Amino acid sequence: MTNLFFHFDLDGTLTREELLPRIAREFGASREIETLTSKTIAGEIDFEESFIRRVSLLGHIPPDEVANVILEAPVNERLVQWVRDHSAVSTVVTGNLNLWVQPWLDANGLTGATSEGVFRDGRVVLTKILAKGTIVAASKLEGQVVFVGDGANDAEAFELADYAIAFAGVHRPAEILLELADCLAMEESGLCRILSQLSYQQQV
Amino acid sequence: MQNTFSVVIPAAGIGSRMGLGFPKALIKINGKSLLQRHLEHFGDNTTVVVVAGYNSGAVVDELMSLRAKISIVFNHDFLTTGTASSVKRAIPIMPEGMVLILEGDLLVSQETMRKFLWTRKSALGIGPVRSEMPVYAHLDSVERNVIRLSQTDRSAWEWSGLALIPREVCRSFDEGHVFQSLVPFLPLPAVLSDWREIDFPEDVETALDWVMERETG
Repeated sequence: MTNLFFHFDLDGTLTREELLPRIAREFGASREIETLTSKTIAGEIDFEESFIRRVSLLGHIPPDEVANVILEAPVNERLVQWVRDHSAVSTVVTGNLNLWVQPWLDANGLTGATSEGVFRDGRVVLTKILAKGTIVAASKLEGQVVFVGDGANDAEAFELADYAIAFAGVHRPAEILLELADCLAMEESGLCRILSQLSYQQQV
Repeated sequence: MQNTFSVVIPAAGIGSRMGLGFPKALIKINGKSLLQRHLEHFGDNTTVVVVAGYNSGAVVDELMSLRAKISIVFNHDFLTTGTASSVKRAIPIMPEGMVLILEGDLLVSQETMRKFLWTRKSALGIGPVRSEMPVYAHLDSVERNVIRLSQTDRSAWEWSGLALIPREVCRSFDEGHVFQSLVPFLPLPAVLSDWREIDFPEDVETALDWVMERETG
């Protein structure tokens, strides 16, 4: 019986909307963020570059204010509950910033791997941009990995995962994911059913 | 009591004889795609999986427009594998129990679907030979079971592309056509079925007539 690990993207998978546009709407810079976000989801801009640009647009905001906006974001409740119920084998894998999303992870009882930064002299300074593939690769040393995501920056994780699930519950998944995925769930309850079936089998 | 089963709709192939840029399951007959017509037979509690490959984006778009709560499994090797391979790829996410294989390029009557929904055992849908390239089905003397499937040995009957079989049988499928993978499990009960298959452009008009007869009858 092999170990089966489940990794989940955050924005647009566990949450019912992309978080960066939500933050932008609260604090301004909406239009630039919306454009950057949709181009990133579509894979027109590389995630790393896009993330650096988005952080520079929003980095002057005190991190706990941003964290509070994220805490209010609507979530896919059933899916988050599934992750909580399987927390021993589940990890949230997000390129989003620790200063912004760690309170959300803590409030929802989830562990996660994130990008990292510090708030210094009134600005966020990025110290690490998460490469999702490294998390999947590390888990694969111990067993098999199921990865659930929706954006183009999940592509490297999809390539490495033993079973890659594209989630269409919030928006149409990035085209690249349709070429890499093993399956696609149209909505939350279907996704939870698939995850439970894989978990029950303990293999993909 | 209604049979508990899940449904696999293989729709990954190119359908080269049609010359379309999209899977045959998305062909519209009287305003509705073959895929939509399949989905209308099943309620929200039935697990339905579509296997997509060729132009899978078009299948995603169709399901999003229908707001269908079903899943897609991908067969990215659709150029080199057959429907059996597609079915096998769906199995990891299918629940235990029986699986109804419903090929994506078919139209199936309500009455035939009802027979499959209510039968208590494995079943292969068969009917009089009509196709250009049939999979001939040979029946036993009482015409209750299919004892042989062949593309070369002729018979008065052909297999429809409809099969209700245990999930474990699907796990043993190989890379070719479903009928080839079913051969080791014969004999299987025969169910007289009413269907049309779309293989060639001229089949579309026949299909429209077939649908109109049944929808206005």
